[in-house]
Amino acid sequence: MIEFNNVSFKYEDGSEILSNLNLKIRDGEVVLLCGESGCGKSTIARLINALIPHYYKGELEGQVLVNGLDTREAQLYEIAEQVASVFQNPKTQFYNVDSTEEMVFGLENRGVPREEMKKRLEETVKKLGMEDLMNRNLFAMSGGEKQKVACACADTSNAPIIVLDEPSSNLDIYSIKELAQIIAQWKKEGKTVVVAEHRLYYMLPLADRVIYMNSGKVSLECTPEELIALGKERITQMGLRSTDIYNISVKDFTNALSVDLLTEPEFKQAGKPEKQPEKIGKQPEKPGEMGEQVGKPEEMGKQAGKPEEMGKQAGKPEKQPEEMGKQPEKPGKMGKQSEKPGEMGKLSGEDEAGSGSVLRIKNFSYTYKGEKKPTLTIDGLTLPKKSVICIVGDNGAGKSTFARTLCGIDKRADGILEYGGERLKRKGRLKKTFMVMQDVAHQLFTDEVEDELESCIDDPDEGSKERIMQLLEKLNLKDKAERHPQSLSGGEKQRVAIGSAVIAERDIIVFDEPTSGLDYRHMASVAGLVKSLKESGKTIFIITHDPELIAMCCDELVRIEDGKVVDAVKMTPDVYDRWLRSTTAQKAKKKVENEKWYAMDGTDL
Amino acid sequence: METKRLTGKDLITVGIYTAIYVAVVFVIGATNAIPIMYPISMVIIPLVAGIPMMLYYTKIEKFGMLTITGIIVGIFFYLSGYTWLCVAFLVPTALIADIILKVGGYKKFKVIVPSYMVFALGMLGGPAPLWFAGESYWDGIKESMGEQYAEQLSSYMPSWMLWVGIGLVLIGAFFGALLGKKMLNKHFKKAGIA
Amino acid sequence: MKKESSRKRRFHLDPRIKVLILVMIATIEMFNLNIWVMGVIGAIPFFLYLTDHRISGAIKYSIVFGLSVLAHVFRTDMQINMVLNMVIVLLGGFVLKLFPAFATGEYILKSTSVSEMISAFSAIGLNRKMLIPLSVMFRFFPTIRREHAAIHDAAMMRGVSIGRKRFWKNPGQAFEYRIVPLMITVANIGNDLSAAALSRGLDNPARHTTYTDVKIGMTDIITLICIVMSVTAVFVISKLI
Repeated sequence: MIEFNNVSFKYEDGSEILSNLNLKIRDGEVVLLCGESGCGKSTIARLINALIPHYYKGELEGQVLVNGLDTREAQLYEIAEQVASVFQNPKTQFYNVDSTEEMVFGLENRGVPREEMKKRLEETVKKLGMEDLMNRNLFAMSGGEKQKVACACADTSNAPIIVLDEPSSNLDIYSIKELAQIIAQWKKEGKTVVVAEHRLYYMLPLADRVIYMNSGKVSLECTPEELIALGKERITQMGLRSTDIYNISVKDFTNALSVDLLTEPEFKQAGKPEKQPEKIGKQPEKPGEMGEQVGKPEEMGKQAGKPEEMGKQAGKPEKQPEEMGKQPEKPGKMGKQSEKPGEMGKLSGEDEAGSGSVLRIKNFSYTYKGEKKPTLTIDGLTLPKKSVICIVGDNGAGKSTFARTLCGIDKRADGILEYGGERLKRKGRLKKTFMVMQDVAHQLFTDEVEDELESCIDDPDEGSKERIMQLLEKLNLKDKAERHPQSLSGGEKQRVAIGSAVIAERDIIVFDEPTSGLDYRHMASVAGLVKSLKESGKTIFIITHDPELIAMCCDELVRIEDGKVVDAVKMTPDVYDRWLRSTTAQKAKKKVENEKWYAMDGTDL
Repeated sequence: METKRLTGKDLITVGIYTAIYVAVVFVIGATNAIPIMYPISMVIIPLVAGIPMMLYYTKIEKFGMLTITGIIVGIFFYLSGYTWLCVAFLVPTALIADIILKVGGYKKFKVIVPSYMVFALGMLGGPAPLWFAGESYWDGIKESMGEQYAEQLSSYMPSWMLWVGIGLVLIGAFFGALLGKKMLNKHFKKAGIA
Repeated sequence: MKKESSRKRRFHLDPRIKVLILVMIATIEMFNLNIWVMGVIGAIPFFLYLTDHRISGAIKYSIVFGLSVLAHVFRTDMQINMVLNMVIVLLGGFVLKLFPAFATGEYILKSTSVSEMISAFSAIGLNRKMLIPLSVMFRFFPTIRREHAAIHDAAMMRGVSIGRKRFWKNPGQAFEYRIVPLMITVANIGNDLSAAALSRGLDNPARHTTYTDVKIGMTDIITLICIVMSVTAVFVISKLI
């Protein structure tokens, strides 16, 4: 039982205020906290695990009771036995280098004897299907795997309450599904689960109650069904993400909603294929060829022919892998058609005719140090200029490697990019492209926003200052011109980085996961920025897992698998659906990275 | 709630800044493969390490953190094959640096500067075998190569080098503290991490 | 901790024994010894490398060490420039004196996992005040490496890397561009990490236990005996000759 009695909180810097909050969460309840960034949902999570007031300082009024313990009086380690936490960033929350060691870390701190630790670990491993994540180097794991380890840590602790603070922010769709299965398991065991989250779609089928926060207050409390009943438009207005990613119509959000996430998407899609054209509003340019790509409706019907089996899957997480294994065979059809990626590119690119309007990638390859075979090989790919190109694919498929090669970041990036009549080798690309990194903090160097932009100009002249101010105005950063870039919010940092790309006159801008952890409004503003960059003549590449972002601004979808382009087509609802289906189904092939033995000096990382 | 004992948070802070310190010493020390870099690195290491160390000093409010850093750096260098001289240099200098801080007061730049200068001297434990191992090697050379040869050799390796070394480190550490202070005001405070 | 396959390796030493070997080597080397003893000491890291399946490391090491043994043996016979001779002899001397310890140290860092070492430290009764910073330090080495690599990439895109025009305009600033973002990201990671670790009971005053088990086994004892016996034997024999 968690009780908030007249709780108000203010951080030391005066930001994010929780005002006079009263809240009760019963044992065994699964509660979804949602709302826009800064609404106070993370603060609630921190109040429950007592990091407020013990770690994050500020003014706290009122009382928070967790299973009878007053969090203000109890020690953090006492609360730790009642509340286990999973945090937003998989990269920063682990303490050990080794995954097994990490899973027992909480137990070691409590002084649990070794035998007992082994027993509990075994239970967790079996329950959550962690076998392939044992004794591994956390640094070599994907975000999804790390987050699964974090969940296992919460599980071994045997705490009756589990708090998750935006756990899906850095995850791809498949990993989110796995996360949902873990939460479902906890729910079954009768644990109290509190999830603060932007992404609603995976939580709605699990939650008993939804609490919508608005500027530090509970402004709506309802069941998931009631939330969905509010309708798409209202939910968007509230700043919430889509409740159903499988039914977003591309570049249009007027479609009806439904919530059965855990049933397989193709079941639903295939069930009503005739409905799709209405949703599209934009027909494929070459209907004949597109039709072939999409696959035959009858076959899809067959695929979805066993709804009982599908339904079962959702309930039994352990069974998933084998059944999943079957599915990649179907999307395999796509694999076949895209054996000649060059040709695929033509499909969409060459319509506009003339090489001036396209960019061509030739013989891209990237070989990592100590490896014989290249991780990435793209013989030829033609894409339209001045468009938004989304790069999708599983973790480890080579998306980031593609971005590195495109930007020519290091000597291993081989190949040629033809851009508007220019043949750009690696160094040429380095000057033509700019990457907005996932962690933007890495690319902010100076002590003032204005200087940051100025340092991007090779030969500053008198007009450059004016240009900078104009740009800052456009980016809505004018009042922040004198601030330290690192002190800005995540979105503002991102805009500064975009600004440096624009001022340096780079024609190609690559975004690496620009919307992870963003609420609806911020995600939409990124999409808006991307569109305006496109209108100003830039070519945009976006590496992303975010279905809503793709639906909002993608022109061209490139799918990468095992370092090869398997699909490069103009974005249509069919393409979107096909990608969603393949990405939720794919796991079977997920290869365990060839991890080297890792030692104390960390040199092999 | 505030205790004088070191909390888990303090100990994690110690771990992080010790890691950064070791990384700086290692990366710059790697240039020592070329003997001419020895004297230069004695200035550069404390100069560069001044930046993370000044940030570290803003987080120190209790006695013991610097000493632990000294011990751990010593252990790490001992494990990577440097001699016991590393531990023998690093631990006492770190302890004295800690005492200076305790006596003079925490978070005062005027106290931090001498404290850091003493702390930085600990890194002399790295090149110390150059003199000490050299001494014992001396006898061997005299024995086998003759007195004259050894004398000529010693003119290339004068014993006052140790004092020069100390001087270089102190100069490097002094300017390192100033540099670190500058970065603190220019960046870290504004970025909200100091 | 090792991953499963490497764990099954037949030859595996307890970290405490590894450190003991290092201590022995470093201590013996402080004395003025004859070339035979130096040779046998120098052979220890060679065998340690072999047990860790690091063939190329073993070969490189033995070449460097072997050359300095030769330089030592023929130091009076060399008919070359005086200064050059001295440099060779001096360098050779340092290699003889210091390399066995360096190589053993490198072997320890490469062949031991963090959790093994922490468990070993804990087993010899090292205080928690030392164990926590030690494990955090080892966890942060790879973090620093990764963050630095990312910042390096960003600097490349900005054109502030070595060899680019903008770098040479102001090298001091280029250096600032590297270390400042690194400090900021590492400090932020540290804050998150502290929060996560504390919410998992790091400050619990109960006596912490360790999951990783360290045991001194037969391999350790036999290895130790072999080393002690061979060094003593060579020492005695060299005195008799």
